[in-house]
Amino acid sequence: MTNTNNEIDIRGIEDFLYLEAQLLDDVKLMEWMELYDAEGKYWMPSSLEQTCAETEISILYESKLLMDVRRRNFGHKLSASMEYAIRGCRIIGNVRLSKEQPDASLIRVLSNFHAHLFYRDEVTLFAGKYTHDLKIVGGTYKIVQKRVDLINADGVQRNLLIYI
Amino acid sequence: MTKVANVASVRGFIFASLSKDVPTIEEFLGDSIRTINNVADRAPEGEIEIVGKPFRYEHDSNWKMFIENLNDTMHPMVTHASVGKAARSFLADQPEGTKYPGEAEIIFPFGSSYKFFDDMKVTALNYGHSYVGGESSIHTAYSDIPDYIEAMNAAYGTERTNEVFSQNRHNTIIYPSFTIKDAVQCMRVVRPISVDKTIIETWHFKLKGAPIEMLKRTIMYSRLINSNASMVGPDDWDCYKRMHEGLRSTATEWVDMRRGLGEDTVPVQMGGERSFGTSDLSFRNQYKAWANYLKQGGK
Repeated sequence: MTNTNNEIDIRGIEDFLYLEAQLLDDVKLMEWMELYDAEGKYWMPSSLEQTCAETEISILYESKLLMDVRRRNFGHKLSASMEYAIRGCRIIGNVRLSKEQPDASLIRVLSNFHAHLFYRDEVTLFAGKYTHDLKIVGGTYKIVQKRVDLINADGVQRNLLIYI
Repeated sequence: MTKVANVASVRGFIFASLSKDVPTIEEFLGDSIRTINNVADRAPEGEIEIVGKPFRYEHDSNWKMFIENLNDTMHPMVTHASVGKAARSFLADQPEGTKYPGEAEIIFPFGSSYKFFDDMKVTALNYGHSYVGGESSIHTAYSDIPDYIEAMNAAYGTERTNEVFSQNRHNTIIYPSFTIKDAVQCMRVVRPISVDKTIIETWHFKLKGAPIEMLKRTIMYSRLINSNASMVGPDDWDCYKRMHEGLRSTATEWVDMRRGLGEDTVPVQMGGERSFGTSDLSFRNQYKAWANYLKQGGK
């Protein structure tokens, strides 16, 4: 939120980012989805230079409809790929406001992340940069877009079963 | 460097062979050339353009698993059952009359029945190529994109436009190198790395002269189906891996691919035969071609 001087509460934003990471670590996808605005998007581009999610291929570009179908599919007993435990541990750091703020109604926050995922007997490290576009609705933050730039966005990809 | 002995081009796709002793490209491709032609014919300007770099997805299995799967219509309702169920459970919770975005059109046909796929038919061609669909496919029911049909009609006239759209193949396999779709403009190239490692490269195309919405649909389709983070790719991946591991066992000597064997097939133009969609015809056809290549010693 902002204080009386209209300054952005970076500590409050950090707490919000930690909460989001925690919900993914715990695979609480329903609660995680609720952090998103109704038109909110989760975007993981396939190159660091990518500017458009619609005309270039992305690893993920999900609306709430897809998040909802995905949460219902997650851990489904009829899915071969979901038979294995999926555990994550996400660390967020270098949280700062972006110098470029897209729009007065949004707060653009940059951060770095390391995420370890355990799946199919392997631990994989994902690393990169998050760009959260947040808005304040009814005294709380909502994610309008979360962009996840993996350092290996344009590298050869392997199975990814959960949002990073 | 070895000099390429033969080069041919079809609508901008370049085919090369290191061997001198190969059939002409027309003979090699047979009826599958119509899929490649149809991809380009769907552009009001008659040409397609590559968009971006290919998307690369690594698989821990032999390349044949992927190639076989592309014309295997017995797998969607099993391998992708959970996605169909998740989508239906989502739909059941929505108010009546809810309008859905394009993603829904792409995901929902995955719950289709055996009969739906049987009716699509499978066509096996010379040299191991094959395709599923023809007049209808899982893409038939996609909604029209405004201005696209108009642009096509203006370029070709109604009769020719209808003729172009009357062809609707699901996946065409150009054995053993790649698979291509006509109704959705993407192509998957199979890169064998080792016996148990394969990289699938997905390439995307823009129809020159078509509204940008056509490209958006291709990209959306590919993200939902071809991405390593899609809800279908990892399930296929896991089945390939399990089958690959299973084949290391010596407990059984054979893999059964007899479905539809000996049943009537219909001959098709330019060489090949057609059977019901869930027949194993395309797999038998691939191994016939592969055995021939082995006999020739890779020459």
